[in-house]
Amino acid sequence: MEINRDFLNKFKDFQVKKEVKHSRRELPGEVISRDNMKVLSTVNCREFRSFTLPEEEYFRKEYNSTLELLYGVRDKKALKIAALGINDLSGASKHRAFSSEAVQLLKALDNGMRGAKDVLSTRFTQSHRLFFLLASYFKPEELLFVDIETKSLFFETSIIEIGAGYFEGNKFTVKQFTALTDSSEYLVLEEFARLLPGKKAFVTFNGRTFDIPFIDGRISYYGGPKTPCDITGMHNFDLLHFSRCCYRREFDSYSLKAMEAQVLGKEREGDIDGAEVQVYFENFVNTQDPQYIEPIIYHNREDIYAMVELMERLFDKWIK
Amino acid sequence: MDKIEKLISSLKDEKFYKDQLLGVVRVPKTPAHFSSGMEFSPAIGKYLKSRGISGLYSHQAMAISLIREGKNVIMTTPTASGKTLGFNIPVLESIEKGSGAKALYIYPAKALSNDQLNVLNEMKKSSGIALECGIYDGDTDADVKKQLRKNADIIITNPYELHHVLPYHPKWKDFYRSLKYIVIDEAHRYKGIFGSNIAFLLRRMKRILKLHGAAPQFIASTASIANPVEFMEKLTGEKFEAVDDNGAPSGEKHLALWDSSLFPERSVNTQTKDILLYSAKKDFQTLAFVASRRLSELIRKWANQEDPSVEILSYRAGYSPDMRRDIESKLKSGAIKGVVSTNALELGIDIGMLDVIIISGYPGTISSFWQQAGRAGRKMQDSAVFYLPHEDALQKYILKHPDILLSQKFESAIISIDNPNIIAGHVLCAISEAMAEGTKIFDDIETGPFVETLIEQGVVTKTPRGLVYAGSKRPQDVVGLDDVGGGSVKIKVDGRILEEITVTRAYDEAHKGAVHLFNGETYVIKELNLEQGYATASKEDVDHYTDTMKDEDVKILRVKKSKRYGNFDLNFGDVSVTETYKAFRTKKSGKVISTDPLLLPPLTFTTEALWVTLAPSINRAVKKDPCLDFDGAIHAAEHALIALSPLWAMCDRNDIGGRSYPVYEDGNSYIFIYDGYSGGIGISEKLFDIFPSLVSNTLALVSGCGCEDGCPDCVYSPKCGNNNNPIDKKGAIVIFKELV
Repeated sequence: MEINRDFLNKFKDFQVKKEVKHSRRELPGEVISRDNMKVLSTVNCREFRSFTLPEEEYFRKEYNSTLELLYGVRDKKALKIAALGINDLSGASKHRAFSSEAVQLLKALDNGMRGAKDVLSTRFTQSHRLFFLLASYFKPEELLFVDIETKSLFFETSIIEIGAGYFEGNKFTVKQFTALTDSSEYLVLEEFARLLPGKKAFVTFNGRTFDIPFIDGRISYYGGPKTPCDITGMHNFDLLHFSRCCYRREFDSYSLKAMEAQVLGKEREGDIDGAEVQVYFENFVNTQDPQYIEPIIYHNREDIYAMVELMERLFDKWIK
Repeated sequence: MDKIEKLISSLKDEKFYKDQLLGVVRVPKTPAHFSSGMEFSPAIGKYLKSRGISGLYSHQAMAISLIREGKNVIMTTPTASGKTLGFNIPVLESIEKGSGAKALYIYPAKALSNDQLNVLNEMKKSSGIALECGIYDGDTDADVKKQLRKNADIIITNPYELHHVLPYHPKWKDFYRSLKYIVIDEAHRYKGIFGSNIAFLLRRMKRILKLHGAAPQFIASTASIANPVEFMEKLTGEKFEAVDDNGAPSGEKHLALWDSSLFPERSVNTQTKDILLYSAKKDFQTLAFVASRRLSELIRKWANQEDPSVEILSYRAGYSPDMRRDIESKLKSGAIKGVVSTNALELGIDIGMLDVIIISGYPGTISSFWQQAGRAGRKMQDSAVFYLPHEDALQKYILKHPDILLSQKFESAIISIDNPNIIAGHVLCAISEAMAEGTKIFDDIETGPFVETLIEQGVVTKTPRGLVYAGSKRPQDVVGLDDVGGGSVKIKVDGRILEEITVTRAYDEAHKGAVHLFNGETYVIKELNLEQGYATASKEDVDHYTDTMKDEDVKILRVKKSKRYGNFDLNFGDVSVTETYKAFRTKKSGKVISTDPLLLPPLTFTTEALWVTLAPSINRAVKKDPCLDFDGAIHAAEHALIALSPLWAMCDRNDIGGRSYPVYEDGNSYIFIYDGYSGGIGISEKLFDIFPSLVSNTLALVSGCGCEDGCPDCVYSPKCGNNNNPIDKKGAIVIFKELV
């Protein structure tokens, strides 16, 4: 007996032929082929003259002046302590009541970022300003800005594209790897993995919950990584959480598109939604018409550039 | 005269008595059979002592030995025979050894999971064995879940959770690689469509476990069924040893056969209330089982109205857990004398034993009947079981032939592992959980052709690393464990989705004007949009209900099995069924209030069926008598066969459909019986196997019925699309006599 067609159609979205504005004759990049897998590799660069990360010294200063790191100290109590003439942890370390704890807290900084992060994890949520300021322990070229496009929200379905951006001096390069067939995902993951050496932290937007676990899930699905890397162990600056915290109660929506409009003052013309990527991909697979690939690439690339600019704005706001 | 005898005989003096008692059959008491010579560790010994258990029953000991030997075991002894000890002891023994063995307990219902956790914690405390166990389901905290995956020795879960959690198996590797036992309690619940889905869920699980290097032992327990070993093999793909010789004792049971139709002025539900109240007033702990949640509330209300001094409570799913625990403990302690419940209390929940059980409405299977009746009998004392059938051919038949109940010839639990949609759905889930190297996904099921079709349709793709899932929906969300995978219709109330049902069911229950039941509440359907797959309904408290009238047409696609009998051929195979829904009836208390036309497109689906081709000699035998009508005879015969089918296949008469053709395409006379679910679920296949028994029993039913020309107790079907016309009961008897 045959499988019911209606039932099978539930597993994939109906193919909606989309009319695309920019028509293309060719694929906008280089095609990498291997073992019957085909991936489109695209490269794009922009200059970000003013992108800088704070110095480690700045973090230490901010850390020192955060009396809330002391156990049980919150707003009101901080004021009381200030009244005693204690303004920071160094001051507290000289006061009998707090000295041992304050000394320990300051000593944690001897272990660099790890030490600081461990302390912060016991006191604050991951969206706290000090977590963002941990960026001071990194150099710009150690960051990898990552955004993925997938068939669905669930890692049981596959990745269509991974976009990753990184700094070399002022030049910011976005490399994107887009699967051109249903069976090419593994090659996308491999190409992505080649960008990891030398990178110490990810910058994402909702990447702690979505992008990074998703990539990790797919790597496991294919039986573990070829290049040894533990991407879930890498540090991740998730700009969604910092946005919500930094711009608390200012906006109704904290989606990347909304942040772009509200904070960066940009509106994208003719952009597609993340949810539509899958439909465009399906159309490309069926027709092999390059016009369906461009919108996917454009959407992903703009997301990554938006993350860079947003990160700059967060520094502006959070660094006095 | 003992108390129970007196209770029954004094009944006859009550105002609600008009000779309804057809008879009382004694079910003799059975003594306990203990085992001897079983050795346990001091810790286990301590636990047994703390529970006052000085020796194990023979079946418990047998189960434990077999499990210790590494065999897969299925325990099929009745309710309250101590099956739990049969698997808890060997599992705890393994854990005690300290080799890191772990166990997964699967329960179909949350109440049972909670009960089991309590039992395990108690065992842990009394025995002193170091053991970490917990429930892992939708209500468990994320932190606790992480803890359990890492450290638990025993995890208790349910099939729905497992279904969703399998893709996360890398996170489960610590637990999975040490998994030594999978315990499936109340396994008889996994029958029909649900069971067929669970069969594949377990095969997906075994596949994942193999990846982690584990091949656990299976331990299962079910209520009494005719085919435990066959059933478990279909459910799991493993070979089992059966332990079914019950060593637990039971007192004598007085089975009172009650024909409520002999006092027509009082409905069967009123008479249920009468007996319940009567028994509770006389201080006997009584439990009445009724067919619906509404009835449980209603009967309680009537009882309270008639005599507020006697506390009668109702019990059903849908009550809060606290409320249910409260009633359960009150029953156990004896604080309450009367409870009226749905079959929610049939599951192994511990409520102790009772004096009187009233079974109002046959629960559908002999197995369920004895599960309910099994609640009667405190500490080896006598107890009474009242059976009050409702107006229905099968129910009345059993009343007149109680040996069916007494022989304890249980039905076979039916599971199909052949339904193509169910197979395809789970194959997709499996491939999304772990890449497939080839098209052989499950060890014992032929999946090759399915995988080929899935690749063709683009839901699975071949990559250099293996077969990968290529759909854009999470397959575990598309595959519902209660579905048979066809189209579906979402029922919406106030814009929210109330329920999602199959298209076949929607035709029956979600057409415009239908009264749809969900969670004990009634909803009236306002509109059905088949193209877009939704129906809108509004919640209305109504006391009428609706059913549909349809014509069916059956076309044979493929013959899979064949048997020749004297004057008929019996075949089994694939058919295409087209159902044309013509009208629906609005009914109240069994009476038709109105009949309205239905404008629905014909519904076509492929399924499995059996068909009987009558030899022309049978036609002649009927036509010889000018008073008999052949068309009516074959129609009546079809109805009667369907009415009795549940006696062999654990199904409801609504799960199967039928069509008789006095003259089919090839000129011969045919009777078709088909599975009412797209793709088939194994019922007609079972009926094919036992057909001769079905025929002889049906003959007994029809010829033994006291009516003249046919009635709901024999050849009238409540679902007949032609309003039970034409029907010729006498003609049917002739046909059956020829078939036997």
